[in-house]
Amino acid sequence: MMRILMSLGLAAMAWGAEPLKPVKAPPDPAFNRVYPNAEIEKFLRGYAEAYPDWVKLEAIGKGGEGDPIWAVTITNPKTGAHGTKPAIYVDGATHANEIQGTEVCLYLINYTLKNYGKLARLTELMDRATFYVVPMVNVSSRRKWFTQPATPSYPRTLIAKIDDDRDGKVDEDPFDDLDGDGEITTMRKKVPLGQGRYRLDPRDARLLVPVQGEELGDYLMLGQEGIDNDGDGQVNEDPPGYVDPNRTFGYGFQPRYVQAGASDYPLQYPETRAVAEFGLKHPNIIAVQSFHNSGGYILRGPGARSERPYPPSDARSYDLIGKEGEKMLPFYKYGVIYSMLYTAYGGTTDHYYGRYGAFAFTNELNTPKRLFHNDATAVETMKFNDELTQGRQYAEWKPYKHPQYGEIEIGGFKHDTLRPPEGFLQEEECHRNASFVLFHAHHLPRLQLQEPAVVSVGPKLWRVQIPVLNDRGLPSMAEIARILKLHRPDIATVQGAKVVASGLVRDAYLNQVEYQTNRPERLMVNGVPALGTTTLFFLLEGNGEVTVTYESVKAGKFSRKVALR
Amino acid sequence: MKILALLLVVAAVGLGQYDTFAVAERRLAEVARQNPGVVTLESIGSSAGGRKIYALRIAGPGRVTPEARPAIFVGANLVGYHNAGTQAALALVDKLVTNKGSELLSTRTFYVLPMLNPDAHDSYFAKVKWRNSLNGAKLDRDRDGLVGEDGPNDLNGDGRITQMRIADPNGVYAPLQTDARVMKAVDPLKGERGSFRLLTEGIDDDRDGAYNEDALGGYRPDKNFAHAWSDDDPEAGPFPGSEPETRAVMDYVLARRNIALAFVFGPANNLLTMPRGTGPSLEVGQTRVTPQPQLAQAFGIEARAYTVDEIFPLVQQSPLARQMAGEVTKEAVASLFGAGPATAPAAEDVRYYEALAGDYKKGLAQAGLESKRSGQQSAAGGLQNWLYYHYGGMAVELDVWGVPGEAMTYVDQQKQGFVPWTPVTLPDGTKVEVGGLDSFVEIAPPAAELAKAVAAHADFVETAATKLATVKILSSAVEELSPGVWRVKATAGNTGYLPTHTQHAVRTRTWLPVRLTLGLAAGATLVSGKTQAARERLTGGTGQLTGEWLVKAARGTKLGLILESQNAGGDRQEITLQ
Repeated sequence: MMRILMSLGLAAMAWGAEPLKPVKAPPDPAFNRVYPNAEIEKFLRGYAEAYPDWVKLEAIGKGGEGDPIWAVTITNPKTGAHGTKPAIYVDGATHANEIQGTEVCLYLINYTLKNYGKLARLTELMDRATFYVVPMVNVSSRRKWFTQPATPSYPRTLIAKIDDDRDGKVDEDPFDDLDGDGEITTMRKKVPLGQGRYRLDPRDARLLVPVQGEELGDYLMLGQEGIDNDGDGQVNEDPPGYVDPNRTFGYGFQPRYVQAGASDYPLQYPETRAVAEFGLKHPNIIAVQSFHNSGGYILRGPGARSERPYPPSDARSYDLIGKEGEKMLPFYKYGVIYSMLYTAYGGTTDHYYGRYGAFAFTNELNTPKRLFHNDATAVETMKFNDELTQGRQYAEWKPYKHPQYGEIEIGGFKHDTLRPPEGFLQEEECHRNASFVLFHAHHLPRLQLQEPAVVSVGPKLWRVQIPVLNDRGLPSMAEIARILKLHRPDIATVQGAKVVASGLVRDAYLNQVEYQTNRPERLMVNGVPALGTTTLFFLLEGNGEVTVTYESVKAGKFSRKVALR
Repeated sequence: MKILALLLVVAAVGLGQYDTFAVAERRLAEVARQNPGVVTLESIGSSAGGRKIYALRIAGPGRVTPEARPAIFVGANLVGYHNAGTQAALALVDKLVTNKGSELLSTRTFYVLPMLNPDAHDSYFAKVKWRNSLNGAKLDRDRDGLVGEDGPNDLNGDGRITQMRIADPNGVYAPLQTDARVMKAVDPLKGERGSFRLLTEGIDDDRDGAYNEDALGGYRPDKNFAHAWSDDDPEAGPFPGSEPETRAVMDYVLARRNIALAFVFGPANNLLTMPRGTGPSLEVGQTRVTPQPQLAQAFGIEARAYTVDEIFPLVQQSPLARQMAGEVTKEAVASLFGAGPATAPAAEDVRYYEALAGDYKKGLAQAGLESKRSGQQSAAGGLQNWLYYHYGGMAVELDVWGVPGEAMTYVDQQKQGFVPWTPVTLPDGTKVEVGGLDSFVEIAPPAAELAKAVAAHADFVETAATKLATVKILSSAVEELSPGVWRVKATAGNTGYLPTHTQHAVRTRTWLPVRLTLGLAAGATLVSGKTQAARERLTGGTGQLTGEWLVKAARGTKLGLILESQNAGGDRQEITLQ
């Protein structure tokens, strides 16, 4: 009988695993709130100190104002170095305002480390996979979201000096916290009937509705809180920023006149450059989740209709995970970015797929459907504020004398509402989305060299066929990686015998083989498909025990002894 | 004595020589040392192999600081084997500093980057010469898990990599009937049959069936720019802008928006053969857009497919157009409705390329160089394309020199440059013949030709620098409408030859518009409106920008008129309300 020797003794390790013993008390964050950067950083250090063998914390770059961009590597040191195992990369707060992506990352770190050895399914995964987590990509702007007057949508930008209104002055007309409440809310103005395009909503006077039919309006909506700082007849038209980090990646990049928010060239800014270079340095990444908000979407590329369509076999893997995600994440919809959301060139997920051959999703966290489990209207959103937050979310309208508009009112939803959920909903969101990450990671390719068929075809000459099974939902090499030549294919070699010929078995029953004409000792394999098998063919000259080794960029390295007799 | 000796060495470097990277490096240091206050030499980054990427700023003393003057950019030899480009850039530097007191140098700045691919620069001087463009990174270009394991080999020991032909009934090449030295791809429609395989000179070092497919070396900076970047060519880099050489030159020009005209010395020639673009040659008005339903509703137009020419007047007529920031141009409307990227130069810009080409060809003819030959198109993913399409500038690639006429006629006249086919047996027993054109013969002219070519190009660049756009306030008028209320009107224009912006830059909006601002003194206020008028593009001679203001101020108040542009200078005028 052949002896099975897999380089990673996965099954045995999983069942014998003990829960991790922290060398000091690990952090215990709450998940019903969001944390400012300094506290997130403290937690990350805390995990690295509590589980030094398992957790590596490193700064992979600096944000526009010098804040370190932290990357956490989690891997079981006993099953090999992090780079030798299939990996999932997870990040948050690429858009600085999309704040709770960071908390999902934190939840994932906390949950995995504290449940290893307790939950068999999770333990099996952590023994064979590596997790790379970058909780705060747009780190400097994320800090500002907490420390400066902000809105649910601002700051979203990278730190960048852009003359948005092209008048020769940079950032000279920002938002202004006119009423000094630490929030940038909105402005409205009552005007004589017929001069406005809005009127008060008869159901809730805090809301305005556009005039319809024969109605005349008596309200103007004046946008975000601010004044015409530079006297050019426009309000808030040149705030600090704006470069949209998720329009700066290299694959499918388009310049700013095609894609608003793009940089001058791909990956010009340090935050997203760090993310792209992390991917280059970690070729074992084959799965990605990038957390954004909001709307409740599980999105995959392409980001634009004009981009290269995803090949069908890769799309099947995406569909398997995305569609299950719709169940795991109630009210979320799975789909393609350009058709489900809008056209967006140069995003993280397109880059990781199109450049590194990794199956990447953008999750748009939170949806108003979660408020009352229906399609929330503006009136119902306001009811939620009243009934479930006792009015916490909403700054009531207050009169203000504006230098340009005169008597106006200032009020509206505060910056930590609408996009992030209320605390009591956040923990569920974190758990469900971290579970979706684990589901995605569960489907990292898992290869096994199976029972070989060895047939003697002459003196010291053997025909060996070895099926390589992948029992998970991602292939060991994406089809896009083959098409775009992104990295080397998987390689199969034999130690202990001369390889006379090699190839891939196309039909084992009809004995059909696709030969590799040259260099048979180095059999190049374009991966093992998702939930499928690739059967290797070798014509070997020799006798006795030999070793067949299968080495995948993404899925790890596996060997098996084969007896030629 | 030592210094004198060094000076003599430097002076001896003639126009007809090629400089190694190290020699050119010393030349740059020397020219900077000899011309303090005029030449500023800096290293703007390091190549993948750790060599310095140099930039020279050349500007004489003048009224305006060098970084605010209209500037010429010259970038050379990004491809690595175009050493004539480096020599032309160095010739320009020498020419400029010999006239350093000139009017031109007091009003213009020259940015010269003569060796943009330092790691590949010396392939011309290598013991085995071949057209190498690779930077010093590590790349497994054939994706077999081995790095740089199968480069070309000098089989016949002649110190250069040429070609190799293998007799093979399956081959698709055959000797040309009229000249058996020349291998030509056969045309099956003409009933031709192949008899040879044609390859680069070398052995299949890694025995994978492909010859010379994985040379030692990294990526090609000349393929690493974002416009028309190739996503399935490992040599083009893992992503556009990944390579230090690419990034250094982009960061350099992005920080210098005073650049008005860019020259790339590389293998293409945009003035001998007009740039065709990298995709469909639709003018912006012909491109198709389908507005998103919400956007269409906001503008009060039907959500259907339009050409930009069709939708543009509708947008102009819409009340929302008054709220759009800046000038409502066809280009702005194209961007707004998602027309996508331009893939061919705007016809209006080609008119200026053609005008420059007239001068250029005259210059070549006067120098005794061939002016009727054709030029290659600029590389997809290359610098010239990026400078035009993304940076938004007027950018011209010039090859400095090209073979006049047929290559074989030329090498026969020169009595060199062709290696006769010679039999060689490869280590595995394969019988091949090595020979063909020297890989540099078509791109590196001999000394006398090089001297003429670099001088002609230095002259041309210098002349082009006199044609840059120059904005001026042409007229101003003050009229008292009522006691203490004044109408101020001013018109600015472009007194230069070239336009202030390319037509494509109206689309990219990568330069600020030309701006005319009324500077209000204390006690003066506008009755209404804003102080700044702006125009995206002023053509030479005819382009105008007019500002009109109603001002409330006492008689005798002095106001300023301030005209600003990023790369066409500016102007100021004081006006008195009287």
